Amino acid sequence: MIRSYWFPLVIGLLIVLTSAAMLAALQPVAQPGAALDGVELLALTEVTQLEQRIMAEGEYLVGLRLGLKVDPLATELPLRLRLRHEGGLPRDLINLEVPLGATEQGVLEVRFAPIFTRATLHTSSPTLQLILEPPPLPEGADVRILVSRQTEPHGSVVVNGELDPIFALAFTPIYQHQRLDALWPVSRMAAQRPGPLGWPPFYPLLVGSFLVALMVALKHVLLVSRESG
Amino acid sequence: MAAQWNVWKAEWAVISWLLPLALLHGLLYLALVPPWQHYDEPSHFEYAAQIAAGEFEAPGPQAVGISHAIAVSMYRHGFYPPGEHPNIEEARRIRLGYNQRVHPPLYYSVAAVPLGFLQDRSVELQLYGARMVSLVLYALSVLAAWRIAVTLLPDEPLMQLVIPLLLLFTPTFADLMTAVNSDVLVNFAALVLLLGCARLLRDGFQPMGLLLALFGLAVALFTKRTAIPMLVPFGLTLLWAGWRQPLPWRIWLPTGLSLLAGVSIASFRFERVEGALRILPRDWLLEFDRNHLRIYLDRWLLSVADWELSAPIYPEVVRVMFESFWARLAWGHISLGASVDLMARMLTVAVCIGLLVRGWQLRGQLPLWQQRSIWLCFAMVCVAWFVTIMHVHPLPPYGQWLHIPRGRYMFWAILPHLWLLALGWQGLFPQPWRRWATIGLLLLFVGLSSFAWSSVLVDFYYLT
Repeated sequence: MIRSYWFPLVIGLLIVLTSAAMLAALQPVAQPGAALDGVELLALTEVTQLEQRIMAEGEYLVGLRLGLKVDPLATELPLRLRLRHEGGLPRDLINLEVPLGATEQGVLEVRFAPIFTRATLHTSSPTLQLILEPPPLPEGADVRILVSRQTEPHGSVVVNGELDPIFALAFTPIYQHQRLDALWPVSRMAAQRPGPLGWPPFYPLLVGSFLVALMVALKHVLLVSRESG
Repeated sequence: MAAQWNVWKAEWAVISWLLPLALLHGLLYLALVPPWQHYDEPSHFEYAAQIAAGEFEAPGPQAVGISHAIAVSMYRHGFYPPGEHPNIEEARRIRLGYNQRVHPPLYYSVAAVPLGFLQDRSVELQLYGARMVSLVLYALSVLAAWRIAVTLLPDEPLMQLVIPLLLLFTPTFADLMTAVNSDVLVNFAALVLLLGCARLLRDGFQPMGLLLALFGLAVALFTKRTAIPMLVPFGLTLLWAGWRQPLPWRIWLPTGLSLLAGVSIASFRFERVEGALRILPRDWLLEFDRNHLRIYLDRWLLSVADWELSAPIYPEVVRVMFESFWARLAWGHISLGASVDLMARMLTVAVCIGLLVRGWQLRGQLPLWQQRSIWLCFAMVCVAWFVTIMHVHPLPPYGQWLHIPRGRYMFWAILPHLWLLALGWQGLFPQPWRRWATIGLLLLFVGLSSFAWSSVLVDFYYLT
């Protein structure tokens, strides 16, 4: 009896597992950052650092899109991007370099491991601080970044340590949205975890595998119980 | 030869599902509990990371950077309350908890092995590397429990499977055994010791049993001082392995009392302090205590003798130990709830009654070595409870913070606990029902484990 039900049980569990993993597939959603009213291009020739507050609207920030105009002379140069909790520990959540040449059709998309942005009992701030460090540009190279007159809700940009009263960086945050999160917050579990633990479908797959192993174990226990009885 | 081959085949058949189950169950806890959310995990990891960085003897120049990296990671993973963060501006070590340098370096050297390969990777990856060492030890512990059950219960194939599965599904054990903590190695070593003891009890002195027992004891003693009580089961086993005949009480009682009196006289003395007669340790014992035990025996004895002060504390200590043994996870702050506490209490009372019934039913039926194995378990449980309760001494002055030991300090004797539990549980049911009752107990533990990791999920990912 147990043997006859065993095979379909495993297959059924594998189907559940696969479905769970498919449900957990990543679905990044880009949301508007600073509005694009009154946009202008800010020359980065003399700029060493840009700071911009990000009031996160989604729970898992996985990337940013920046508007850039890149001169061919500067495509090999790296733009450093850092993210921190505002008002928290002065350490980077994200610290990476992206070549300016990665800009496609005026948009530089930067992706990183998910950052959980919601303020909770365990996380100190929902507000992030974006820091951009453009490289020193060669003479004649013209690199510009998109800024907007609309400073709500993120506030103005800080250029070389000085608050610009008019402009904000025009960026688009990319949030990770997963259907499974409504039921089971796999994105949150995977946020800032290393290796396979940072891959949200890992968790339903792990639980599914465990359930299969549990069924196998119970089957053996029942067989032994029947034989010894 | 063919018979031996069949035995190996049958054993491999069990390992082929028990080991993956243990690894997957452990992996669940390893993955679900966020970084740094186990008892003293930051400071245990710090010690291992220092060894991996070449600072074996004492913290060196890299210790500052290591402590900063850990503190930053703790901050990133929401360890600190909102608005608080560690001070990493100053170039000095950040205190991450209790200094684990008081412990021998054996466990930390083992945990440092994966860290050596992950030196240039994130501190979180290093932490999970060290947790993986614990996961392997957890799986090996389950296998050791299975071998113990096979050795001690040769005629009960169902119990041979149920005993290791009860260990596997005890949530507090799985939680601790997938953490970075020296208790992990102590608990594994205790199971190896018990396996050696089981073989010695069954077969008398034989090389493999003795080797396993000595290996387990040595590893435990070189890992943490909390392993010292393991000398009791080891001593008892040596006695019973050497004397395989029944020992009449007319012989063992006076011999035991004489031995106890001799050891007491050699270790303690009486002295009149402020008009009262006090028992104090002799100088050699005091020195041994200061160098190795760190119980502060002189103050400890004074504290134990102060019955008026200590008596009201014991019920609370027992409550905390009991609840944390069965139903507290992470730093002890995740509770499985009052209903689980109540269920554990009721189960314990019922099982005690069942043990009396089963003991009465089994009297004279079991061979001597099996009777002794039950007594050995009983002795281990009693010693574990006594030593852990006494860990509360010396009591601090009134009004100061009192450290109440948690149930995890008794995990070195968890298998004897579970075995007596299963035995007592069987005693509650008539013979025809016992098979299903045993499976029912296993399902209860499966349910408890599932409830436990659901609680971890809720506490860390839904409520906060």
